[in-house]
Amino acid sequence: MAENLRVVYIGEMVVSDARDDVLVAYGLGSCLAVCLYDPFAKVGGMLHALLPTMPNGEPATRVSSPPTGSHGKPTKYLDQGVPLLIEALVKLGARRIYLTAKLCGGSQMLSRIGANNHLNIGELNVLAAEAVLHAAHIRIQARATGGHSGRTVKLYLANGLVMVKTLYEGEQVLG
Amino acid sequence: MSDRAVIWNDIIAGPEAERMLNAALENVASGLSKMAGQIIYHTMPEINLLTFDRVTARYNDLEAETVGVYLEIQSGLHGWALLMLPLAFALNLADWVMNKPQGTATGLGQIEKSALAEVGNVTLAYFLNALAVLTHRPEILMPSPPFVMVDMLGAILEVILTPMAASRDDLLIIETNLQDKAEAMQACFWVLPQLAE
Repeated sequence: MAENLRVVYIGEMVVSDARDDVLVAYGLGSCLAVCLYDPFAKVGGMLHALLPTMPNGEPATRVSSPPTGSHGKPTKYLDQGVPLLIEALVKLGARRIYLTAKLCGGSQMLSRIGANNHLNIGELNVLAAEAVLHAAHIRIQARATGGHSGRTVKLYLANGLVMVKTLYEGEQVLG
Repeated sequence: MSDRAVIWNDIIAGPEAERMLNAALENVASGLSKMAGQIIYHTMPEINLLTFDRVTARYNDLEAETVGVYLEIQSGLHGWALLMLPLAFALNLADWVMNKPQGTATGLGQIEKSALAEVGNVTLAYFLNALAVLTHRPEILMPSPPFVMVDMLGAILEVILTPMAASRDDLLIIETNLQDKAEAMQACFWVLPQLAE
């Protein structure tokens, strides 16, 4: 089957029910990619978020009316983007109870020995994703997160396979 | 508009903007040439306002192994700077700076990274020094200590995008390429003004 690569750019989300689609986020650093997949409906999606929470944001409840304000696109934020991703997948035919998650990214790209690491955005992104997925009762099946390296992640819609690649460790199956 | 935003506005959009940016980059090229012992040129600077997805979509290979030297601009002006170059060119540059024959460095160890950190420091310092003189504002002189990263290009770009992301969906980039005549080294130098307080 021919693969149709669809890039999920920074701050964006993509959902699909096309069996030959492969969703890909290249060069994740502190950003976190959340991959959700329903293996029965064979519907899946990926969110490529930069930040954990929208400042003073309200939870997103509907794709058609995302929170407005001066903080820009809600899909930049995990607390806003994950609910939007779930809703878009449900609209495409996914069942919430069958959705599982795989996480990729959340690295700390700037680090020095002795530096104060309390502003590790990558780690905060992972924590935010865990919180919003837990609230949505979606199980995190596998993760390739943390550390100090960039990653590329691919989600294959045909079967939900997720592949993760780093510069120095090559490409491996996640989960 | 804050004082910092006024200064940035003069630099990038005022009547003398083109002259100031060219002069600042000439200073950068001159400083790097002295440091590297090679003649380094700069291309005409461009000022681009790009949405985040467009910033990354410009590149064919976001997985390319890249060296990024990242600095923050502190004190009178706020902003960020990024010097990016493919690993092969970074090795050549490290050799020049350490006064070694080209081809000596085969990997980026701590010494080579320190040399590149200093290149980043010098690049931004020469840029800011020139602007401080041209704008008669000596207070805008403070770069932070540099961070040197070696990783996928996409991951390095995210370091620049993330600080901006909470307040906007786009990025204003002052960019130029720095290169030598023999094309043994090509680097992309970005300066990103922080216009909002």
